[in-house]
Amino acid sequence: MTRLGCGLDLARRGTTLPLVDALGPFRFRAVANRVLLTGDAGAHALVTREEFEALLDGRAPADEAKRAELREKGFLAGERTPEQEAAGMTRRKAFLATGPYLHVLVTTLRCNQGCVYCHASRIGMASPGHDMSVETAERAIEVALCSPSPTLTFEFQGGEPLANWPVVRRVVERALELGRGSGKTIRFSLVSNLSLMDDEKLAFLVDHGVQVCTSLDGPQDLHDANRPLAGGSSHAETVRWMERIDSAYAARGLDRELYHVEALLTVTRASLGRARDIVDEYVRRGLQAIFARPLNPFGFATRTWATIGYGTDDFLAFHRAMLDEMVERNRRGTQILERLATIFLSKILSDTDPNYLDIRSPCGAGIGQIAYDHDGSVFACDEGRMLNQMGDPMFRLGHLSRDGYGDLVESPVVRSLCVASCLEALPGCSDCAYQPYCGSCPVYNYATQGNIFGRMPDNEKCRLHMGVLDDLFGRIAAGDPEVGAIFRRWAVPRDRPFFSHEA
Amino acid sequence: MTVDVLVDASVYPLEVVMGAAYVFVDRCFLLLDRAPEGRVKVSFTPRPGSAVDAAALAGEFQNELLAQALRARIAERHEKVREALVARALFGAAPEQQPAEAAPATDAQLGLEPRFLPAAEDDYLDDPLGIAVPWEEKYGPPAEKASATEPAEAAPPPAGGGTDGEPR
Repeated sequence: MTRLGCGLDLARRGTTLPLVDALGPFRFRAVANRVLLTGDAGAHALVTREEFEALLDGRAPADEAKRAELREKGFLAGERTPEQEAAGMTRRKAFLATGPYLHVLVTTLRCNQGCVYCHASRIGMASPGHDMSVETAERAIEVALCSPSPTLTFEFQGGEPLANWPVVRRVVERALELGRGSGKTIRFSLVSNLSLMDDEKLAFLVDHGVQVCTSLDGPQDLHDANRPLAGGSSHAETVRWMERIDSAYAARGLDRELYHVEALLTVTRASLGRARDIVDEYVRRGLQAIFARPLNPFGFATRTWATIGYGTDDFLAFHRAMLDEMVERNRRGTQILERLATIFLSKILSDTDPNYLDIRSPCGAGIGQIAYDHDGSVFACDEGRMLNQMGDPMFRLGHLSRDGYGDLVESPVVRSLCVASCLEALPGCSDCAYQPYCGSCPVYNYATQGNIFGRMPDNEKCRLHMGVLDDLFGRIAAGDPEVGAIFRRWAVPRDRPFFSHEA
Repeated sequence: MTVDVLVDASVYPLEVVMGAAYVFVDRCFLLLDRAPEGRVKVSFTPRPGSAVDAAALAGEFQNELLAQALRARIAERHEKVREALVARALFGAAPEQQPAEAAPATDAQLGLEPRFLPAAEDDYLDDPLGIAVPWEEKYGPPAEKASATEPAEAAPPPAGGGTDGEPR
């Protein structure tokens, strides 16, 4: 079967035309031994091949429960009205109404680790001139507060953001001060390798409800090979501080289940075949989620690809093995989930969208997030900022010294990215059964295919998304009620009010 | 070595041919020219010092033609839904107000009523500029000769010196 297409041999039906009056609008795709139907608002149904053939002949399935399901979801005409479908789409696309909520601040390009896949194109710790100034950071806060979004998340990135601690600290204090009375909810997120943490910083971060996120690439040998730290083990440093931070949350009476350091896994060639070891490591550290991220063709990874890179099919095999392992752990009572799968499951199993900016239509560049580089340059997204580090300023929106919020979000760059990531009007996407759940990244498309409009037949991100969705729908189609319950539990969002500041 | 590709202009519109050719300008010099039988000739000449295979590029160009043509057709067919989504997204991200250069703040923080909304709903019948007052009532009956092009008397400036009624 071709990867893009529906996977069904409709040609053998000859000239018989479906009685479309009896059907509602849907897209379809062969999944495992079933046919998946999806609607614009994200509803889905799985039917047998025989039921699908019957639908094409204008006959409703014999099973009354299946008929009722298809009518309710709008795949059979006559029950769901266009107004209900429109309301469903509005709910699904609610993120369009709010504007940029994620504001990425690159507080410095300096970093003390030399990760083999560094996406951020780090600079050595001794190099001057790569830190964000307090004035630039304050201007970024002022711009961010002009966003109409009721929620703002300030995310500290690097380099290693703790290498410019005064700016991290100032942003937290100033954003809370300037935001007071705005009615917005303000959150802070620090993405750090933790090796520059100390007691003072820890106390401040916990006192101010700053969420901490780190990288954990697996057991010590794997982590240290990916993330070398001069004079020591980066793994030992990371887990030491994870434990300290988690203990600080617990000392405040916060629920350990909800409040702990979050971790990201970057998958390199060395990770392949070690899904079980990695899950073991995460469970051992008390983590309940792994975000398995494939390598991106940005930054240092482009130079080390020959030794750390792999094909999309390799990643998909790894991801399947990881899900197998996690499902088994969940059956035995351990709570552990994978975030990429969970993002898709949230869309599949609910009528809303989790607003993950990289996987939505249109994507979040400029309309869901803004990235502020250390020197005051502003980009539509962090990936666009990374591409600038590689010498291509294609996705630059302006500069904090002369551009206001309106100038930035009304930039032609934002409009172009928005149009280029509208799956509803893209070849290969507009008729894809996975369109309601998917997303296209114009920056990735530009970096890999030379065009912000992705060419899906040979687009590796499309292959990856479709592979993960094929796997998830295959598991759903298998009909194991225990797996269904596990997936529904994964898809339930969990609020962490300690990290939210009502301004 | 230059490689020529002939494109049937009845299959691919000229803007599609140009769009597809444009993708290759970083690797080749390109020339578009008319050819017999309603065709367009696209000539690919690799840039000096370039190691690109012009024949392979010509094949890639044919795939790009299809991609561009399909994108144009789908974009046209789905124009309304795309425009609705993009407009909604851009409107959703638009600033609540134009930020001040140094210290932006919302209207609420500045103690102002929200702009573009009446201060109170029951004020909507107020007519401080006299816009709703009939001409005859305001200026009397039209003059016999000059009435076709000029009012008998210039309208007074609006009270307060503003031009558009926004709070100042």
